[in-house]
Amino acid sequence: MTDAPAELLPARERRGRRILWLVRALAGDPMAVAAAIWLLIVVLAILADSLSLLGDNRISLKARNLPPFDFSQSWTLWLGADALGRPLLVRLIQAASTTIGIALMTVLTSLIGGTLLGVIAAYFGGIAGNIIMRICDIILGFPTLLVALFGLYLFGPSVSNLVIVLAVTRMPAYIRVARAETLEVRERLFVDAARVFGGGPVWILRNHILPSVAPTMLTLASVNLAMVMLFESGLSYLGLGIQPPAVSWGLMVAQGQGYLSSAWWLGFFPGLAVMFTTMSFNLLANWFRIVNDPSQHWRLVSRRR
Amino acid sequence: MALLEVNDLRVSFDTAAGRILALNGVSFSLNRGEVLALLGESGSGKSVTASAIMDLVPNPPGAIDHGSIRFDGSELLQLPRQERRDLCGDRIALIFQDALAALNPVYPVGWQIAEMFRIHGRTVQGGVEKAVIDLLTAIGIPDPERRAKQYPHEFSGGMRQRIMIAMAVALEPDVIIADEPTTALDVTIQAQVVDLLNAIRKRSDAGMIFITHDLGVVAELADRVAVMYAGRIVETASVFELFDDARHPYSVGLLASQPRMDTDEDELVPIPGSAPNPAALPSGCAFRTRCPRAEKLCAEVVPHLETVGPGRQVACHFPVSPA
Repeated sequence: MTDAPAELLPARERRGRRILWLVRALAGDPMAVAAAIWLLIVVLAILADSLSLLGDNRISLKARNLPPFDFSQSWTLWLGADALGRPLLVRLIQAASTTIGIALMTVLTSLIGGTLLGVIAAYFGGIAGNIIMRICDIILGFPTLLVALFGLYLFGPSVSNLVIVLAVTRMPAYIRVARAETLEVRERLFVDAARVFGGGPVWILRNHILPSVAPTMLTLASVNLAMVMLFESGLSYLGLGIQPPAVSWGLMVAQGQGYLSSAWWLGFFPGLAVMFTTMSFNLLANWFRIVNDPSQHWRLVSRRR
Repeated sequence: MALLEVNDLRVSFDTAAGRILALNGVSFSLNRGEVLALLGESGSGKSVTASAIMDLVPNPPGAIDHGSIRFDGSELLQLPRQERRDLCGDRIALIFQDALAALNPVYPVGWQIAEMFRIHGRTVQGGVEKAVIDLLTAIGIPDPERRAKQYPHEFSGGMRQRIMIAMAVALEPDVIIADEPTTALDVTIQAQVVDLLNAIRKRSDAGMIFITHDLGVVAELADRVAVMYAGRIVETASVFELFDDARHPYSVGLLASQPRMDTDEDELVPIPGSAPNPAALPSGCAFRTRCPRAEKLCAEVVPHLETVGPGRQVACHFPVSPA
């Protein structure tokens, strides 16, 4: 999408140019760089955890509610320890993979499913469109928490059920936004032009409608990512989300709640992690929107924004 | 046999004011290598004619109720969707008035010209990339290798219209329909675009339908003119005949309301009244309420196109007599 003849080059060279251009574009937005660095740290932490490089995570009654920033201890205890004396930093890292895994899978499922269904409902309309929209109305008619509670109670709390329940309850928002955007975009003259030049429905959807709808959908997804992380922690708090000994940031916040006055760090650091991560996704989504809108590209090079 | 033949085409739209007839029996033909100008005021049905040929009439609310569009021996209105789509862009191409809106803002212009080849699965000698550069060179875009990578908003209005033209002629269509391609441009650029269109058309010997309300452009470019009024063609003539010897009172009024360099007339004579409301057309001849020659018969019987000379047709009960 960056340069025309590049579209016509062999696939490998085209991809190379695109990656190079994306790196340059990222360097133009300091906030996006910061966000990318934070997400890189999180990814590295998840990797370290999965390769079991973290060392000791045993319960230690001596270290119960150990305060943070005691640098005389081993590095694992620099952020303190929880009520059972487990090092908080290690717990945070272990929780990262669950939290981000669930949030990403949920958001990706509802993003892809919702966008496709919404675009189809709008572009083709008719009976299929009507059915899709009425199902949305039904889902939206119930309080999200109630649907989630009921679903998890019926099917049992597990990570995959959690993802399915969260994705389904979030999807109507995506469908509605995708539909509204598509209804607007498909009336634009360039869609007529593509039809006049012989493009079929699949060609037009893929090359002209989806690229115009994508930035809005990604913005919605990045906002939703934060909501999903918080929602997951709510469900975990109610005992229907992540089950101990597995751990997520939301569950850690919930568990730390009882110690807020005596050991603030139990809830504070996981909360901070949620905040940094959602903020990073939001910043990157904003950057991505600019990258996808050629008339905004000057923002990536200009000092006067 | 004519390359494109439109016969008794009727198109209607549902509106809040009821069903309106946008086209009420339009017939014309276009030969290879010929430029036919569709001339008329806003709302006379010029663009709807183009939409009907390109299968762009939105349905609903619009519908083609009647008529036929024959292209190169096949009936477009009865062709399966896929076959009709294959003709569009490949053998019949449309140039839009508003090039900025017709170009997709998220793709470089080179990509969009290449899209023509890709949609129709065409391969070209030397590659599509080279074909795109050649087209950009042909329409007079300087530094085509660099410009191909730029986006529509980085071009001037005249350049965008020329890029639109490059897309339309990329596959060397047999029929080019230009829907007011110069209306949004200033006069110096208009001349460039008209010259370019003419040169490109001559090279491929395509037929062209040029939709406009600008008599100056008609005089410069067209071989034949069809004058439209309220969804009907009221007069067809060669461009010389129309300017020297218009027969329909509307054509005469149209000519009299334009400044001309070749006469001493100081005053412009506007046509009285305004174009009729398409939801409530007058009975009989739609022009009779504004016509200085209207009589009782005009309110009762709709005049049909009558041949009055070789290649000349007029739809009027009391045409202006030959000069």
